[in-house]
Amino acid sequence: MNSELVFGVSDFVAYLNQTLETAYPYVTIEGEISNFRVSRNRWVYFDLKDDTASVRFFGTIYNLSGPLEDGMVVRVSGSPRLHPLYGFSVTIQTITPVGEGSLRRAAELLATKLSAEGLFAPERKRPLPYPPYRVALVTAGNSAAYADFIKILNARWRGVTVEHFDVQVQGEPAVGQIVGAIELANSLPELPDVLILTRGGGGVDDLAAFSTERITRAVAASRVPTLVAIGHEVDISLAEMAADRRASTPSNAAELLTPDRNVELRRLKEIRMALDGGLLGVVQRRRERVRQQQDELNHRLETVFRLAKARLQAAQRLIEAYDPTAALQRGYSLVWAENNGLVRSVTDVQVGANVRIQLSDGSIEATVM
Amino acid sequence: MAKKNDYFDYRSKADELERILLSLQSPDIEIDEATRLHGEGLKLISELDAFLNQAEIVVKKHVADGE
Repeated sequence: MNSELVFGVSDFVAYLNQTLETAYPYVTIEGEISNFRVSRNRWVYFDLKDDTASVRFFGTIYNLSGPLEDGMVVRVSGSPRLHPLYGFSVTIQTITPVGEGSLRRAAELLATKLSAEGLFAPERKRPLPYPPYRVALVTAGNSAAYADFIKILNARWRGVTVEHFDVQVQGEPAVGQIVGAIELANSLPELPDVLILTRGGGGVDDLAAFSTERITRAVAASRVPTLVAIGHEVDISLAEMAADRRASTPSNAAELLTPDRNVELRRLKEIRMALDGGLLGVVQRRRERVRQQQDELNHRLETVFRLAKARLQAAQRLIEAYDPTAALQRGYSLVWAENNGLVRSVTDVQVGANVRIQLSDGSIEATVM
Repeated sequence: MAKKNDYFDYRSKADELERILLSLQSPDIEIDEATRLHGEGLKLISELDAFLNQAEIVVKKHVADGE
């Protein structure tokens, strides 16, 4: 009896795939990328290699965390498969750069790509409302970043509603949770005035989420103006570059967002004094004006009196000039007829008529001869 | 944006106060108008002062599920 098992080619491929699915449904492999290429702007091919071996990988660009290139060290998770025509490969599900050099290079490649799309352009930056009424705070609830932000906010300013979105800020779920929180904050019935994404300092791996394409794009796409504050000293994350404003730490974020209430209280005291001083100034100016008006009125009244007096004196002089008694003083006389009419002509009286001659100091009765 | 009516609009009131101060320094202002503005200014100061001393932070919690 010959018990040797003989497969047809297709059967063998199917059998092997079945075995792989059972034994290794999901594997994670770390290695250096070589032969990286993208076909039709959709399909991604590359090999992972070490000193002695090489494994082929296949996936779509949607599986990538960002741009990749040969020489980067990555950790790829996926399903091993034997393709009927093209042979063995691992179908990619997730891919993550590993190590400081690869992470930095991945960030550089992604920064170049997103910068070319204009995500970091200065003209996209919007001003933040100052002070805000409602802020969306995306950070870990049990973190020092959360405590510091609330502490400084409380010390500087109050009357703010904080919509806190509790997320992990590192590790596998961080990216999905942060993107979800940004989208949720942007879909609230009443939009917050500003969205703060923050965490404290950490190593390059800890901060990697903030330089992923998904978070960077979510920050750039936020309808709510954004402030991103990642506590670190050296590199700025891509999320910060895409934000409308960045702060150095969670505390610095709270400082940038709000005025200092003690400064405002001092300013109120100054304004109170200036208000009183302003009103006093108005009263003093009006009082001075009234005094000027009074002086002007007196001056005008004096002028009116002076003119009236001058007119009166002129009239008096005129009247005096026409006074007939002044002529009598000079030796002239008036002759009055019996009927008290003034004798102006010799024809006004007859011989024998009685007349009265008026002189300056009395009258003389006479008869016309 | 937030419905500003639901919130104490500190910045608007502070700006209004500054405008009142500026108006009071105008050489042409009449005494009755100055007195009215002075009263308005004192009222605004009282409101702003109360806000700065009494307002509190309100925190509302949300949990982001992620994917």
